[in-house]
This record gives sequence, structure tokens and C-alpha cells, in this order.
Amino acid sequence: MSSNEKVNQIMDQVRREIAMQNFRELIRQIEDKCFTKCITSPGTSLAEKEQGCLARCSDRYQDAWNVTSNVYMRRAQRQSGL
Amino acid sequence: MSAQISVDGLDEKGRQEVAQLLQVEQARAEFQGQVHRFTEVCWDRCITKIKPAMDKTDETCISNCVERFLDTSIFLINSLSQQQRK
Repeated sequence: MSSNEKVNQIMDQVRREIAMQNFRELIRQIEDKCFTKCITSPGTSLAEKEQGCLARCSDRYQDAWNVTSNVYMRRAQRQSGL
Repeated sequence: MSAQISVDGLDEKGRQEVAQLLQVEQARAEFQGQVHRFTEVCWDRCITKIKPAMDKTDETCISNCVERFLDTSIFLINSLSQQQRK
């Protein structure tokens, strides 16, 4: 294997690990936030209404994440351009 | 990290290359870590009701929240460093 291929292989592995951690962190946050929002009085099972709320909450959290990411990105670009 | 990543078998040039690329990935990971943090804070501040879609009000609130959080950070760093100089 050439040195270049080996470097690419290592970096692919690193990027996969980082993406995985990133995903795990997002899931952890969605669990915390959406449990708090949707399961206000825990019963003996997940009610259908609660499941609907969880699905919507998860989507909205991802929207919020994307808005945050875009705003922060623009801000970082503005500031580095000063 | 779940897997072992090893630079064994890489020559000096390859190692330097990996070190440089790792800095880029680290900066990216730090950026994403901050996005996680801001999202948590601003979600709590802005999202009181779960809607079928994100509307303008929520979006504007999150956008302002992130911007003001960053302003807060700069403000505090400045005032704390001034305190220290006294």
C-alpha cells in the first residue's frame, strides 16, 4: 500500500469515528430534550400521542441544530473576514 | 474511540500529513461540539411548543439566541481580561 493510500485510510477511519460520536451526541440530546417535552407523566407504556410528539420533536430538534450550525458558520466566517 | 487507529507503517512524510489533516478534523469537531452546545441552550430558550414544522418565529429566536450567546461570550472574555489587568 502506498503512503498516500495509508494516509487516506487512516483519515477515513478518523472521520467515521468523529461522525459516529457526533451522531451519538445528537441522539443523547434529542432523548433528553424530547423526553422532557413529550413524556410529561410517564405511564405504563408509550402512548400513541407521546410517540407522535417524540417523532415531531426529533424532527424539530434537527431543524434547530441545522439553524444553529448555519448561524454559527456565518458568524465565524464574518469574524474571520474582519 | 472504539477502534484503534495506528500510524504504524507510515513514513515520516505520511505522519506529518496525518498530523496536518487531524488538525483540520479537530477544528471541525470543535465547531460541531459548539453547535451541540448552542442548540441545547437555545432549544430550551426558544422552543416552548413542538410544532408540525419549524416556523419563522422559532427560527428567528434560535438565530438571535446563537448570535447573542456568542456576543455574551465575547463580552465576558473582554470584561474578565480587563479585570485581570487591574
